[in-house]
Formats: sequence, C-alpha cells, structure tokens
Amino acid sequence: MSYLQHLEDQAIYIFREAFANFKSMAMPWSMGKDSNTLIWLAKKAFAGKIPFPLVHIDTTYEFPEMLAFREWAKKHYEIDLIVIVNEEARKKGIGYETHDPVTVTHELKSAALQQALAKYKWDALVTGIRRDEDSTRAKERYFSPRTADNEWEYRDQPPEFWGQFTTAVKPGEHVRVQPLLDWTELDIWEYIRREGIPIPKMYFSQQGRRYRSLGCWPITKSIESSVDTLEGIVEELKVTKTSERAGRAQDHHERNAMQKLRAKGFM
Amino acid sequence: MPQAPKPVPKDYIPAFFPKRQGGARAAGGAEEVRTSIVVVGHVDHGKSTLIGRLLADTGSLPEGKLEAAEKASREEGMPLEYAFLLDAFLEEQAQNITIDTTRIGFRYKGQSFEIIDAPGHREFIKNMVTGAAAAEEAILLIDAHEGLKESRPEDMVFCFLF
Repeated sequence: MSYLQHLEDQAIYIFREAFANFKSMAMPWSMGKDSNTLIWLAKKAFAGKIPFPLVHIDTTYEFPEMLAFREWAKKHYEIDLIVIVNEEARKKGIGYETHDPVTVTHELKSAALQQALAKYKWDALVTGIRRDEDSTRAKERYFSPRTADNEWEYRDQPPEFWGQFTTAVKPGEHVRVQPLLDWTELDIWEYIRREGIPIPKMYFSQQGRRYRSLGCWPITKSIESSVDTLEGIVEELKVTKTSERAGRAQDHHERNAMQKLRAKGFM
Repeated sequence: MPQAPKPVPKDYIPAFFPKRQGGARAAGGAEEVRTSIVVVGHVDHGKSTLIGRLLADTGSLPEGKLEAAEKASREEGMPLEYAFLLDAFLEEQAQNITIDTTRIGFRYKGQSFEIIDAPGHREFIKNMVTGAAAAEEAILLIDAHEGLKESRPEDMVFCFLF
C-alpha cells in the first residue's frame, strides 16, 4: 500500500471515530488546500454526504477568489454551510488597518469561532492542521481537547496511543479532531493530484507569483514562482528551503506568536 | 496595508483536475515507506539537542528556523540551543526542558523519516508514551558522563511494549 493510501485510510478512520463518539460536530472550512482535502476525505468517509455542517469563519478580509470559490463549492458540493463573522469586533473597529496581526487574527478568527461554539454547542470541531506547518502544531494530538473558554491546555495534553482518542467532553468544552496531522504539505499536493480535488487558482503562478498558504489578504504574501501545474508544485516543494507559512504575518509577529494564538483557540 | 486584491469574474470556476485512471484506490505518492524513530532517555541527556543537531546538520531545516532558535536562545541568555528547534513552547525554552512530544519529518538521501522527540522528565511520562507509541524504532540515549539513570528501565519497557 502506498503511504498516501495509508494517510487516506487513517483520515477516514479518524472522521468515523469522531462522528461515532460526538453528539454534534462541525468542520471549519477556509477554502484552502487542506480544507478542501478535508471535504474530499469527509465525503469518502460518509458515502458522499457530510453529516455535519461546515463553518466558514469570514474575517471580512477574505481574498475575492476565496469567496468566489465558496460560492462555487456551495453549488457543487452537497454541504450545509454556516458563515460566521465577529460583527462585534468589526463594529469596535478591530482590523488590520489599525491593529497588529495577532490581535486581529485572534478577534476575527478565534473569538468568532468561540461565539459560534457558544451558539451551536458543538462538542467537536474537525480541523485541517498539520504537524509540519508549525512547531506548536507538531505537538498536537489527533483528538485535542479545548476548555470551555476555547483554550488549549498545552502543558497538560492527554496521552494518546493505539488509536485510543479523547472523546469525553464536559458541557461547554470541545475536542479538535485533526485527521491531517500526519500529512505533510507535499502529501496534500500529491493527494490533490491523485484525486483531482478542486482548489482555488491562487496556488498557481500568475504573473510570476503564487500563494503557498492562504489567509487574510492584508497579511498573506505570495511567493515568487513560475509554477502553474500540480506536477510543478510537487517538484518545487521537494527542493524548497522556505517554510510554508513564511508569508503569513501573524505567525512571525513576535516570538511564540503561534503559541499565544493557539493557546487562545486559534487552529 | 497592501492594496486590496482585484475582484474575480462572476462565472468563476476553480482549478480542477480530472481523476487519474484507476479510481479512488489508484496508487499515488512517491513515498512508500516512512520510518518513525523515537528518541528516549533520561531528562537532560540531550534528546532534543541530538534531534535538533541532526536536523541542522542534514540541512533539513527551512530558512530562518535556525536563526529563530538562535534568537530564542539569546533571549534566554544562552548560546545556540539546538533543542529549541523542537521545544517550541516558551515554558519549555525558559526551563530548557521538553514538556510534550514533538513529531517532525525529514528526508535524508531520498528516504523519509519521522523523528519523535519524547520528554525525559518523569512528570511527563504520558507524553513520552504518546510519542513512543507512534514509533517503529527507538534510540535510547544515555549521557556517557552520567551513565544509566533510574528512569530508563521504564523507557525500555515502554519501547518493548510498543
């Protein structure tokens, strides 16, 4: 069996374990490559129809192409989509024009998610994070509990082995279910190529630049690249020395920015 | 603030790729084998440092990673601490101790590996077990100056178990 097949089987297993164990769950969806891979895997896991809602946390700083992709997907995938915006924070004037990227990311992503958790009372959220993206994500569990305040108690994570996962939650708490933890950026692209998964065109070169990781437009930088095919992306990744999230300003705003963000609920 | 991106046409269609011949079970992915190796041993015997050094010396680190570790080491008032390449939490860096297990991939001579750093302190044994359980092979690291320490039989038993 190829390693990619092993990864697919494992992700499907995780999806089904989660669905069997949690009363209500949802899947945040950012329209990026990992998110679209998750949709693909979820459809495989549940015979074509994803049995829980997808959540788009709209920061109001989304790339127009991502929103266009969202509309396309709504028409082409059978999905139940909830769009959430932290209106309160926007009304207060929190935005990239005036605030630092860590504050804005926290308010418009993590706090927005927390508001949705309070409203919909999900006890599990499926996320598309991967260990190779960031060194705090490298310490994650497949089933990773969050407190009632949406916080990650990273100093005291539960043990996890032999396919035994944390599925017990107290009211208000939730578990992050992370089927792509073992995948690398290269695995994602190999899988997209194998399966033919639709993705935004921004990952391919336009006028000599392309995006490797997508976020809010004011704080997401493209890379110099002439690659405009999937094969090209795979080959480029095999030799690159630049990290995937180098173009994401919130990660590098200060030492341990990701730890601070993630401890407070960021994915 | 950079300039706002341009709008996209209304009849937008994403990048889409026809499926390869062979359907869902088609073979795919260049890597057929990915060996997972855990490093276990007594606290402060240099497990994270060994892995950090290995990553640095094999050129497996992305740009800026070593510089970030250097900067963090300076802020903690010490020379370059290779362990900081894995010990990402502030608490870990401030105490220079691994709290939770880290799993990190690297390629060497065309072969892919996953290397797992496991904490050595007895307080974090659940995290050590979490890391060790995911490994196929183990390296038991012993500091020659200190010799075998009391917590190591436990590590060895766990490694045999898994």
